[in-house]
Formats: sequence, C-alpha cells, structure tokens
Amino acid sequence: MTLRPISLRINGAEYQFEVEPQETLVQLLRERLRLMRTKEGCGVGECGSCTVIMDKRAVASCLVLAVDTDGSEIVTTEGMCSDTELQPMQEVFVDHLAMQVRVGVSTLSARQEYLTFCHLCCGHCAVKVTVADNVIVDMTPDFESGLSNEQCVFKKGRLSIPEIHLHPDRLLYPLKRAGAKGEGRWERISWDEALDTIADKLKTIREELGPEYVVFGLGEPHGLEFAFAQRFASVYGSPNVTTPGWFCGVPFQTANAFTFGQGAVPDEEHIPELLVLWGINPNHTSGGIRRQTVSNIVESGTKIVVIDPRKIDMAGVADLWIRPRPGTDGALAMGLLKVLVEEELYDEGFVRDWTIGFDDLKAELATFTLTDVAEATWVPEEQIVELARMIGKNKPTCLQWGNGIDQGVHPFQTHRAISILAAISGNLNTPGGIVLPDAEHNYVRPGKFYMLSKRAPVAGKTIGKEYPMTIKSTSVPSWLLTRAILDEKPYMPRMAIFMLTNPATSFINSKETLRGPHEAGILGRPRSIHDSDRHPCGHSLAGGIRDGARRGGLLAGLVQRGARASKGGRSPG
Amino acid sequence: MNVPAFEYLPATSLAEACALLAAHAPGARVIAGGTDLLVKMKHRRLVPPYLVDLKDVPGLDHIRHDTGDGLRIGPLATIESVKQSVDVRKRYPMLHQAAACMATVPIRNRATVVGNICNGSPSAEMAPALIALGATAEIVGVDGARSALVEDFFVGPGCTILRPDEIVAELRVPEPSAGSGGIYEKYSLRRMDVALAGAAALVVPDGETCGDIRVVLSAVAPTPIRATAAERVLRGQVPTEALLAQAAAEAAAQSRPISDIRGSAEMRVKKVEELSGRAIRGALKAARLEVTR
Ligand SMILES: Cc1cc2nc3c(=O)[nH]c(=O)nc-3n(C[C@H](O)[C@H](O)[C@H](O)COP(=O)(O)OP(=O)(O)OC[C@H]3O[C@@H](n4cnc5c(N)ncnc54)[C@H](O)[C@@H]3O)c2cc1C
Ligand code: SF4
Ligand code: FES
Repeated sequence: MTLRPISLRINGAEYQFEVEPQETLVQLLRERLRLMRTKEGCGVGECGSCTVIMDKRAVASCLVLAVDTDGSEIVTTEGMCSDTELQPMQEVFVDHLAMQVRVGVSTLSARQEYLTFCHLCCGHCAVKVTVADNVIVDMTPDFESGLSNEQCVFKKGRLSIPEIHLHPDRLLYPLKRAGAKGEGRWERISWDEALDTIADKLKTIREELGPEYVVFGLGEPHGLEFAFAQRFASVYGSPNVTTPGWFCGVPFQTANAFTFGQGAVPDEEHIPELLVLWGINPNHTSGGIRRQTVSNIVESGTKIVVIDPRKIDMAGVADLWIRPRPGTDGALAMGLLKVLVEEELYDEGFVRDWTIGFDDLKAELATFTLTDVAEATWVPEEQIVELARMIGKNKPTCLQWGNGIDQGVHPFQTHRAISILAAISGNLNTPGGIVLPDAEHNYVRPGKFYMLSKRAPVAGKTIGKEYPMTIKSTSVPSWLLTRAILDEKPYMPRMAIFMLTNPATSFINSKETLRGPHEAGILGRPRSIHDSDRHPCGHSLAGGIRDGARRGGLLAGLVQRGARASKGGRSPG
Repeated sequence: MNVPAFEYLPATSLAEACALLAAHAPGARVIAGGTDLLVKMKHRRLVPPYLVDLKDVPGLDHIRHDTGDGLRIGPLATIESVKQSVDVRKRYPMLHQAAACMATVPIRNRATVVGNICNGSPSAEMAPALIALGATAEIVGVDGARSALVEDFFVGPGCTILRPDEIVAELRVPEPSAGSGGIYEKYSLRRMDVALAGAAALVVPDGETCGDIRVVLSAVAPTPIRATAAERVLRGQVPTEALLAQAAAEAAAQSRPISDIRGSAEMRVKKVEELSGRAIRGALKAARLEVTR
C-alpha cells in the first residue's frame, strides 16, 4: 500500500504524516495524536461525536479521508477549550439550558435539589436531581460531594426523564394478570391486594412445602434491592436466590478472593506507567475504571496495552494491541506468567514475603512452551514476551480486567492467573496498581453483600448444592433454577419473585427459561416499565418506581404481612 | 469503523480523471465529498479497488449565475455552499429549500450536489428540484462530452446513465420562466434523515391559469419521477381546490413506493398525496395564482 505524505495544522501546530489512503481523519487525530476528545460514535456521519473544524467549517471526521486534509487547518475540542473554564459555546449552552429535556413543568415552579445517585448502570454515580411540581425536571452530575461520577448524566440521565420517569407505560401501581398466560391482559389492583395475594401465597407455600420452594431472582440493583431482597429471602427462609453475578463480577471477585483474600480495584488516584486493559472498553462502558481516569491516563502519556479480539475504541490509541483467540485469555495469562517468572522479571520481595506455592507455579509453567501458548491463543510469541517484559519493567502497572473475561470460558481460572500476574509483578496494593479497598479506601457501595453460605435456615436444601463455590459467592446458578423447574430435581420451586430482571434475557438459554415459569407457580415482578409482552408467562406484576426504597418497601410490606419464618429467620444485619 | 483499503488516484484535470477511470474500469470510482461512498465502503456494500479523487483539479467548486445563461454548479460545490448562495436563494428558492433540509451541517459541508445526483439514489434530495427546473448534467468521458437532462439521468436505484469512464463536469440550471414559483417538500423521520418521500412543484403562470406545471416525486419509485398525471390535471386550468385535490391524488396513484424498516408502502402513498398537495399549493402561491373554491 502506498503511503502518501500530508502536512496540515492541527490546533495551531504543524504536522507531517505519511498516511494510507483509507485512513480517516478521526483515526489520524485519535490514533496518531491521541486527541481522544474527538470520538468515533456511529462512524457513518450520523451522530456528530467526531465533529471537528476543517478550514473553518464543521465536518464529520469519520467521513473525511486523511489524504484529503493535506494543507488544511483542523481544530478539535482540545483546541477550543481548557479544562478549567467554559468556552463561549459551552456558556451559551448553559445560558439557554441546552440539552435539558422539556417535561412540561412551568419554569416558574419552585425547584428543589436532591443529592442521590444514578440508577442507570452499575456505576451508581453521584447525581443531583432537580424536582419541580413533584416531577424530576433535571439531573446533573454531583460535583460537590467528591463521590465518583461520570458525565453521562448530562445526556443519558436527562433522557431517562422522558423515556423512563415520565414514560406513559411506566408501572405506577400493581397489576394482576386478567387473561390467559401470555395474553397480555392485566388489571389494576390495590397495593393491599397485591401484598395480601403475594403474602398469602408465600405463607401457604412455606407451610405446605417449605420456604425453599420460593426462589428469588435479582437483577442489577438500582438501589438497595439486593440488600433488601437477600434479607427478605433470609427472613423468609429460602436459600434459593439467583443474581446475574455469574456473568458479571463474581468470577473475578471469587478469583481475587482466592488469590488475595478479597476483591481488588484499580487505584484511580495515581497515574500508572502502564495500563493494561484486558477485556474491558472503559471509554464506552463504565465499571471498573472511570472514563475520566482513562482520559487522564491517556493524556499523561502512559503506555497502554489493549487485550481484545476486536479493535475496540481504546485499541486505536494503544501502544500494543493484543488480539487473543476468543476464550484463550487464560492461556495468554499463563504465557505471560511464564516469561515473567523465567526471565526473573517478578518482584522478588513480594514473592518472598507474601506468596505461598511459588515453586508449584514455577513447575506448572515449565510444563508448556511459549509456542504452545502462541498456538492456543493465536498471539505471536514475540508479543507475549513483549507484553510480559512491559509488565515486568513498568512500575506501576495497572492491570484492569472487564466482563469480557467474566463472560468467556473458564473466567474463574483465567482471573486467578491474571490476579497472580498482577501480584507477583509487584502491582498489588501499590499506588497506581490495583488495590484492596479497606475501611479507609472504600470504593464500593456501602453495606455488605450477604453471602448465601452464611445463611443456614434450611441447610442442604439449596438448589445446586453440588456447586459449592458458586453457592458460596452469591447465588444459585440461574440455569440450575430452570432445570429444577423443568426436571423437578432436586424439587420443583412453586413460586419465583423476580426483581429488576427479565429471566428470559438474563438467564442462560432463553427458550428453556421461558418454558420454566410456564410450568411453575406464581411469578411476581417489581419493575418500572410494563413489559409484559417480553414476560409472557407472568402471573402477577407489582408496579414499582425507579427507586430502590419503594421496592424495599414492598418487601417490608410482605414481612409485615407475616411472610417470614415463624421462628424468626434472623436478618443478617 | 475502517474504510477498506483501496488505491488512491488523485487527478489534476478532468481529462486525467476520465483516463484513470477508463484505465481501471470497472472497479474505479470518483470520490467527491465521500459522504455516500465512504459510508457504503465502511459497510462493505461497495469495495472499489480504486478511487479517483477530483480535489486536486482546480476550479471545480463554483456556483455561478449569469443572467440569461442560468446557474452552473461545479462538481465539487458543496450542498452547504448552494444553501448559502444568495443567487440560489433569490432565483432558485426550491434548490435552496432542498439543500437546507438535507442532512446536517457537517455532512453538507462535505457533500456535493453532483455527488448527490451521481449516487443515483431514488431519494436524492436535490433531484426533484433539479428535474422540475429542467437542469442538465454536462458529462465528460474519454470519448468526449455529452449532456443529458437530470430527468433522464437516473436509471434505477444506485444506477445512472454514466459509463464507467464518465464524470459529471457541471450541472446547468436554466433561468426559471418569469413569474414562476416552486416549492420542495420533504417527509423524513428526523429532519436530517433521507427523505421517505419528497415532492417538488414548479408552476409557470399564464394569466389566471396554471400555464405550465411540473411535479416531481422522490423516494417513491426506483428513480425520481415526474408525476405527469398530476401535471395534466392542472396544466392550462384555473386552479381550484377540487383540481388541486385531484392532482395530489393522481401523484399518489403514480407513486410506487416500497415498504421497509422506515415505513410501509401505504403510509408513503398517503404521504405523497399530502406532500404533493402541499408542494403544488405552495408553488401556486409563489407564482401568485389563487386557488378558488
Ligand atoms: C448522515 C448523512 C445524512 C444524509 N442525509 C441525506 C439526505 O437527507 N438527503 C440526501 O439526498 N442524501 C443524504 N445523504 C447522502 C449524501 O450525503 C448525499 O447523497 C451527498 O450529496 C453525496 O455527495 P458526495 O459529494 O458526498 O458524494 P460521494 O460519496 O463522493 O459520491 C457519491 C457517488 O457519486 C459518484 N460521483 C461523485 N461525484 C461524481 C462526478 N463528478 N461524476 C461522476 N460520479 C460522481 C461517486 O463515484 C459515488 O458513486 C446523507 C449522508 C449522510 C452520511
Ligand atoms: S456511568 Fe453513567 S449511567 Fe452509569 S451510573 Fe454513572 S452516570 Fe449513571
Ligand atoms: S462518528 Fe458519528 S458522525 Fe462521525
């Protein structure tokens, strides 16, 4: 491919490049100059996130060939604004309330501000909500509390006002199925009737069959639902709780716990020398490491390695992009360990003082060659050696993994290997590496997760007790619940309460899952938006609001109505 | 999103561009603003091995009006520059309207009027107005030059009369007849989106009557089409509400839209009736003709 020379001005500075004809302007700005504030969203001219000024005119840089910018002058957002003050355009936005949604509330109505958190994803960022006439009219990131937050509240959060909070189909009261299963006919019932119906069922089942016949399915918590629901399950006496943890944080948390004694998080307060992003795309999704931290890291010139089969956003700016064969991340981690150990690049002091079984690890690493690893992972040997040396020599290195690994094969063992890699390379509990949160540095939401293993009201009755490790972590694997319903092994649950989750999409094997509840008993489901079409087999449905406390209140109502073990299953506190 | 690799062939004159196209036919394409081409290439709907770039050819971005001669639009004149041209706004308001409702500013700043036509899309934003105004495309190729009415330029979806070595060197729009009035109407889901239906109407008054009329529809047939039956209803007539309604119904009857993810064919037919009714009424008003009861 012939390279073509171009010269252009970008944000006032002169540059010369040799470009391939198919290179786009957005690629040039991001990948060669790391001007990350120009984003590639849609890639086809529709979203505007790649807009830059070219020769005094706004253009979509995703649809401009770099060869065509020869001799032009480009200005990106970096060239327009500083970090500390608003530029004129932003001031106009603020003055005219641009990007705020209109919700039909008079601007004259009195406004109150509440500090709360965003419910949209697991980031649970601190936000400030403005309320007028009992309606949420605006949301902004909470800049004052010092709690972590992302900036997406300005868009995603604000759009959730018309699209979720004020959605015409939002469930505001309980509904009970009126027609046949799957017909989609529902009638409104009172809260008392809803609570009585559910409480009666709960009581009957416990008395006639036992509390384990009721299962609880929980989804991503939007508030304190996990705490409330797990406590409710415990006072009711059922050990059968399932969560989406099996494809989210549980594999890595468990692997961390096995290796370090507890889960680890990146230290966002110190900039590392090397950032390794493994199965995570922090610029597009939240969780793990915040976008702002990633921006700071990128702008500080830190070396970046991306491990992902796809060319994700961050791969473009990475110093090294490794593309493993999907599902072979564990083998890759073992290959990296092999180089680290055999080239003696590990942290000797750490290994001496803090590890056990290092010789066993050494012996294991001697059982295969790098060629084996390269064959298994499709990653060339030189790249494995290069990355291992980068990890060994750049201190601190922040190894940040994501759900890309949790959702693959063997996530637990893969995470164990990566955890060992982080630890023996000397990057555990060091500034800029990964750290173990303690009472002083607590990054996670307040309160404790309640572990099923610590609850023993009906010991031995847990579905899936042949998987003691999974049960110990948080929950019964969802597919075992489905099997229990379909195969009646070890027994068939008679009632399921699903909260914040649509098992048809969050459980393994949607077809089987949908068959399951059709054959089982009642299905209650506190949710915000009525989506019975996607939930064709529901029996009754309790309306919730976008507020964990109200859902918690629903459970409290059930407790009040006597749906708790008579001899008092004790709340775990 | 990556653009598939291709060989880049910059031309310094139109003759050289045609020669390059001929030498690398049929795989070579011209690239103007690239807003159609690069999208297709990113989606791998088109993977041309060669792109001939016209941007090094001097003097192709003109929009020039000469009284008597009409308007000339160069192959690199952008839609935004057409929208901003005072001559266009004053003398060819229909073209201005079409340019103003096409896509977004960052797209219009790159997209060309000629590219819009050469792309051959039945929903080409600029086509109805250009056809209604009787525009011609001046075409050059290795074997010489020819000219064709824009009305005859489209062959089918993505397909034009251009041969592989040919380039549109200019669009010429004749001076509109004195007193004439024209309107372009577009229906799309969001303003920036491609039209689900478009209608242009141009009326040349003759005393109290509608001396001549052209109604052009886009996005509702394999190419932009003249709604000839609708034109016949009003040509030479004193416009009345009844005739106007009849003309709009004829336009709808002549449309042959498809159903796709953006809407059903029935919906589009209804929209054509509504849009052409609005466009004809607007054109009559712009031509200062009254619609009687
Ligand atoms: C977000 C977005 C929104 C859009 N919205 C609209 C819309 O609302 N309405 C609409 O009509 N279109 C729309 N488009 C499509 C597109 O922008 C227009 O069709 C545009 O006018 C194409 O011009 P261009 O210069 O970018 O063409 P290019 O992509 O450069 O070329 C298009 C085609 O024409 C050929 N070509 C170009 N110049 C010549 C020439 N001089 N001689 C011979 N062949 C030539 C090319 O080979 C190619 O096949 C949109 C596109 C995007 C990305
Ligand atoms: S990352 Fe965005 S969506 Fe997620 S909690 Fe924070 S503000 Fe809400
Ligand atoms: S990335 Fe969406 S417009 Fe360019």
